[in-house]
Amino acid sequence: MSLVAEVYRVFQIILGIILSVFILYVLIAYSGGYSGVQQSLDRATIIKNFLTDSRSVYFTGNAINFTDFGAFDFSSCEVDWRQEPHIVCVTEDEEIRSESMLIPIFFNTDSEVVITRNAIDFGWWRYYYITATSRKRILFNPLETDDEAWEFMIDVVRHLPDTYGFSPRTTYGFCDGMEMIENLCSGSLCEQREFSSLLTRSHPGMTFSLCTTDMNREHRLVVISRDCAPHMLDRGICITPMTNGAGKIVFLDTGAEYTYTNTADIAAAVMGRTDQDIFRKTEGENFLSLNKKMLFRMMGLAAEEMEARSELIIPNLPPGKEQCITAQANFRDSMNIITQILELDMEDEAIAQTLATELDKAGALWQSLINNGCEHAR
Amino acid sequence: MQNNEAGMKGQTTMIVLVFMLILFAGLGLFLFSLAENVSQEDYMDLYVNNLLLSVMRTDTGYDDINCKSVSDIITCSFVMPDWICGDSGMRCRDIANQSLSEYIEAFELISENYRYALQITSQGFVAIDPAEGKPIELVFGDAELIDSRESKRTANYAIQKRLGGSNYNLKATLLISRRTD
Amino acid sequence: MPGRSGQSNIIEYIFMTLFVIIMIVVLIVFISWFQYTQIGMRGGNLQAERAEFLMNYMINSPYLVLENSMLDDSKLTSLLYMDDYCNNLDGIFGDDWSLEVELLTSEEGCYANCTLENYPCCGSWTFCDNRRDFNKTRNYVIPVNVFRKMSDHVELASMRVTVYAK
Repeated sequence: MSLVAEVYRVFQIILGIILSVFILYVLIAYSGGYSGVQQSLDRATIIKNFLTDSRSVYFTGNAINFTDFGAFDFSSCEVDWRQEPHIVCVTEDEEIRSESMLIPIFFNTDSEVVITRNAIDFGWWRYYYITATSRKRILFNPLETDDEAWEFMIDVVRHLPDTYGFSPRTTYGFCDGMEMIENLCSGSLCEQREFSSLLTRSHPGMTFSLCTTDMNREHRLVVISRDCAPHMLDRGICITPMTNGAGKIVFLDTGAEYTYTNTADIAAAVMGRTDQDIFRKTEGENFLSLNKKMLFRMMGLAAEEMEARSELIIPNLPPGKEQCITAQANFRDSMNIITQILELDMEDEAIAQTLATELDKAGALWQSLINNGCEHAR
Repeated sequence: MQNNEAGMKGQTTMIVLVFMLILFAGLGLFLFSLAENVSQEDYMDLYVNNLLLSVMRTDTGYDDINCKSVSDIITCSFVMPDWICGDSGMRCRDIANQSLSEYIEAFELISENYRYALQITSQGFVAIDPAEGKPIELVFGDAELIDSRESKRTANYAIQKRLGGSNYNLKATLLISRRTD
Repeated sequence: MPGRSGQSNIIEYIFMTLFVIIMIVVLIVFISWFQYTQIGMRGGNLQAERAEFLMNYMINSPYLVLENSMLDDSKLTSLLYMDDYCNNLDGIFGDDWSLEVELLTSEEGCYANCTLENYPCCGSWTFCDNRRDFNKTRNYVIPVNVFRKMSDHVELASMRVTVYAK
């Protein structure tokens, strides 16, 4: 009997061990795999939430805070603008691709960001873009301070993020040689609107020398000079003031040069980090490329539509609106020219300047339509 | 025998444990399925707000400046209810009654599934009805809905108009509630 | 009989063990099915969210509106007759939708489908409805206004956005 009991006992132990190992294996394998999947799902959900919030700001213009990036490390996330623009995050274990962005977003992925909207108004059309900024200290280094350069700097500041009333803040100041000059607003750091207001006051005799001071991750250096040379410094960007509607942006760390035609291009360049992607392009360069792609695509469609619309309106104008016929025809022709220019290489400075001239003309023609009662003001 | 009994108890406990596990998982699923679909809420909020906004801006067909849009007619109904709109021969109050029900009920979702009430209140001033000596209250649709305890969705619209040389601020509140009949 | 008691104990034990293993497998299958259902529900929710996003985008889109929730009939009509308009709009809105706008009120009694010939006396526009072979559609209707460019009047309309699962 005792032998049987002993055999039975041994059998129990052996089967118990097998069963335990089996259960343990299933639990570990399942939960390990599941937690990995769950983390990926969570990361994808956070990216999706970010896009949803950005779109909400795009529609309403009301800035908001976004803090979900703090849950995981999203430092690998960047914009992929080459096909249909979307966000892509690549780590050792996984690749997460978001849905198409559909709207221009220049973003940081630090734990807390402020999502704000800005716009460029062409009169007949308005282009909105979104910035999602972490704590940023933008330092201007204007090597020329004549009226034209100063006015240009004011225009640039107005199209950078305004985080007033939100945290983390984006603040603005100057850099002069080895000195950072930031506490310009009643002894404190300046928000966008305060800095903008400061700049509109006169600036007699102010001069700045090339910024050579040390900076940390929060700083963004924006040099303004008519003579931007690649590698004049090893960080920041250098912008030549617009001449006839176009200028150059030079990324000082890589030496890459780009043509810009609007202040949204500058905002895009300023927003990016210095990290390079597999194509050895910095984030700022990628945002700039994204902005150009989206702006020109949206503008092209808008111009084509407005041309077709004017064509539709002209023969259908009611009696008493004869003064609108010529005005609509001129506007239609202007839209046609813009549509054609947008099909050319916009990196060519001469073509960019031609576009800028035509956009100015189109804006004036649109205003004339409003003044004559042919269109409603937006 | 005692050993056997203890063994049976242990086995029973194990079976009960496994069943409990499955029960809780099932309960969790059941509760999850009860959770309201948030998207539907957002959609209905958008619908109601857009309904009020769109109806207020719609033109009535009268060129009379006091009766051009629905919001004009509502202001006219509140401030000068006996005003005759253009050549229509109709008072603006009567036109408002007619157009509002026509416009709101043009949407199938509302006419088939919801009761509605549109309440107009003054902001920053009090309008007194000279005949009754009481503050004017303007309600279109199902007036009972305003004070009822049913679950309602609300949308608000601010009306700012200039009539007869004076500025008037009114608030239009649209309330809708699912029909229970 | 001790031998038989021992054997029956072993058999009982085996059955018990088997039963527990089966229960664990059933639990795993149940959890997998639950997750699958969740994903399915999430898919449905995603479509609803996509439709809501499209509605918000379209009632604010400068390609369609004069101002928030007020579509411009001249823009709607001219869009329809641009070359490859649907592909162009896909770059703005994505490629899984169609849109219908229908007047509910019209002073002139103009409710027909809009063409270049009958404009401005028309009241219905349909965009990108050639995707009807997609499965699982969801559509949402919201009230909007349509601004009549030629007569300067504002009409009441309904806008239907349909989202297709690919």
